[in-house]
Amino acid sequence: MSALRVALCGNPNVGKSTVFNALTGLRQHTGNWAGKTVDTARGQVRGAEADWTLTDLPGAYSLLSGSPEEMVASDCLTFEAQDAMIVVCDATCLERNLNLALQAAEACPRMVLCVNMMDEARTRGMEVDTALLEQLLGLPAVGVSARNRQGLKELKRRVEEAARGRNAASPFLIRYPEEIEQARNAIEAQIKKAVPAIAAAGTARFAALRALAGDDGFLSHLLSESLEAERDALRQAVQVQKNALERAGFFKERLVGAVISEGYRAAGELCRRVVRRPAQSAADRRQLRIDRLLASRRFGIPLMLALLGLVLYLTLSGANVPSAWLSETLGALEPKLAVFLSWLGAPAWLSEPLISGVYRVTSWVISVMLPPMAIFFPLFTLLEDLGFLPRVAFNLDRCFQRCHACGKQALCMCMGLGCNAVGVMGCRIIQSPRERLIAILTNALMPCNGRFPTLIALTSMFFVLVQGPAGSLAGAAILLLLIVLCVGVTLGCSRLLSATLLRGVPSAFALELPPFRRPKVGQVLIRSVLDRTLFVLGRAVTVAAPAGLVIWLLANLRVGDAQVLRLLAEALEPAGRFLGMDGVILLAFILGFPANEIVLPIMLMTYLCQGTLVETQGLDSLRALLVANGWTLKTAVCVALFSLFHWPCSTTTLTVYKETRSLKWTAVAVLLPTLAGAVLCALTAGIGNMLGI
Amino acid sequence: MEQAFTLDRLASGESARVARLTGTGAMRSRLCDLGFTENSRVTCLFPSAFGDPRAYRVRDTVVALRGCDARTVLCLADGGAR
Repeated sequence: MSALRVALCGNPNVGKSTVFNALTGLRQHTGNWAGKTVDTARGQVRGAEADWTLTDLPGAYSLLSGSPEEMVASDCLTFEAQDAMIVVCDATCLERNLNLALQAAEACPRMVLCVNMMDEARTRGMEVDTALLEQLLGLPAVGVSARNRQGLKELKRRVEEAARGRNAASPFLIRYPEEIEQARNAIEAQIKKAVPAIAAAGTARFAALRALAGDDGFLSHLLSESLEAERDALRQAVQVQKNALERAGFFKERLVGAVISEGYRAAGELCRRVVRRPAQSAADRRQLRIDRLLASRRFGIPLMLALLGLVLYLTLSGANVPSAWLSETLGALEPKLAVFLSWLGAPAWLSEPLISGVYRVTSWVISVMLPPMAIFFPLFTLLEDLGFLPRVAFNLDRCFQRCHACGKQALCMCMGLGCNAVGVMGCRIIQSPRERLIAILTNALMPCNGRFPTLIALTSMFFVLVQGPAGSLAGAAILLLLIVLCVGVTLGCSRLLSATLLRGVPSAFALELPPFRRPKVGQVLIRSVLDRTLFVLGRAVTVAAPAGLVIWLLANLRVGDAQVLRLLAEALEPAGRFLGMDGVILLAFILGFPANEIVLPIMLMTYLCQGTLVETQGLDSLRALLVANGWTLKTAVCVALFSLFHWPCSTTTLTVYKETRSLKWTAVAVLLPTLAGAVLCALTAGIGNMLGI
Repeated sequence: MEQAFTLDRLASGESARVARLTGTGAMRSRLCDLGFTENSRVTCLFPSAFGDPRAYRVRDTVVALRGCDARTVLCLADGGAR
């Protein structure tokens, strides 16, 4: 027996990914905000009777109309036959979720309702009677707490039953006004004849409703899937029915409104019977108080800055000790490794590049990057799970509105702090294509974690002259300032884009503010260390190791009398000087295109290869090395600025191309931050020269 | 006859019932999908740090809307007190 095909759908932020992870044992990233999952994911589930292929569809508010991503979910349900479907609902706001569930039931009657977050509903004093819901709906309904893995066994059993066709014969279906039902029946018959894929999937009834009330994109999709001979008849049938509805007063918008209102009316009635809730619980009141404080005119923005500052401070102060320890331990291994290699009989031409090239760069990357990441990622994930990020977007929306952009861009920027490629993908939560493009093009202006270590190292070497807790505090303040600068430049660039390349007025904005949820601290720690930290570190090391080799080769290959590396650096020297840096630094940024993590190591390697052989132990000796190569405070500031604002790394650039499908916009995404960085650096260098620094 | 007013005029802490949506296109259907349908009850919760957008409670969820979008939601005063 082949694997069961099961689809997982639901409103955004109802814990679909958590259910998906709990069922498949995979580790899709989750977070407490709408739009976290923008891509469909597939996983295997070992059921009791059969194996399944589970598809996690992007969250959708409606299956009838919406953003392209929401329609991905709807199209999957309409055109692809599913053996069963799980609709995930949030028990704490069942009414809104049931609206979607009722739409889904029309598409696939082999449906199981998964009422998730039962634990949270209980803490808020709510009671959800899933047995009564099941009876009223005529569809299986299972109460689940996916975070605690409660109710999953029952869910699996019911899904397999549903797939075997053991659901009730006539589930609860919404009765629409008579005119709409008639039109829909007429089209349903036509679709069954014309579109074999839908006839096979058994979704003609739902497809007919979408053809009437959905967007025009669906109709063209439907026609493209239909048989050549029946296409015109189908197109005509839809038009005839639409005309008939218009004569009855159901113009396009009124029609959609009527269909959705009807769904909500039914959902509301179900909820009144199934959900029992206190008027306003203590938890609700506390939540409202915190929300008011976070959004207040006087404290809102300062509180958010303070919280970000705290995260940065903990990262800086916590990372010092383990960083020093790692660097010492890995440094002490270096001579032993050399002995080991010569014991193996490796010739000098091999062991030299392996040790001074590959090993030294790799160990630098590990000791400098691992500790800050292992602290920053879990803290950031905690904030994300708590539901903090949408509040940031809520407060900052006014600024984005002024720049004719979308406040959800702030969410993409927050993700960009982790990884710009992820941030660019996350821009799909923005509905308007113009505003989405602005968010994509400006995402690289936020420093990703690959650049954080560079910034942290620069801060501790050049900007902060005191040690200890005061030093960490000052360092955190400087990093905070840099991030605020990034937000400012992002806003400026967004305004610039919407005044030039991407003209237009701001479009509609509706952002959901989810309730705060207590994060599962243990899970967050494990997940963020194992999945994110080690993943990013692994990527950095796999890029850094070969890069170390390439640098070593460049430094030791000679054209005539000069090293290739030297020649390249000298060629870039004038441009580097103009930007307040030098040729080596610019070369490092260029060679660092595969990954931002390796920019600083490349710089160090290049300086080291040019004769000043200093052990790279600890930040003090690093500083000495840089100063010996002509670095001043001005250089450090310019390097920090250029590290914030230059071309995105290869992965991000590729992601921009994938998302925009346009070489032109990819070029803009590369040029925009580069120009911003060049202008800022040249200005800084000019001012620095004027002041004689 | 009751006086209809737009949602952006609703003060923090006050509730109203949705009469109809006057907007068009994507925003109209999005508002519909989020539960701003005829007769549904809306409460204005609090404004953001810069005053706009504001957070509204509708159907047990909290949704932030900009003033210009809230203006497309026509409301009637809510009969029953909370």
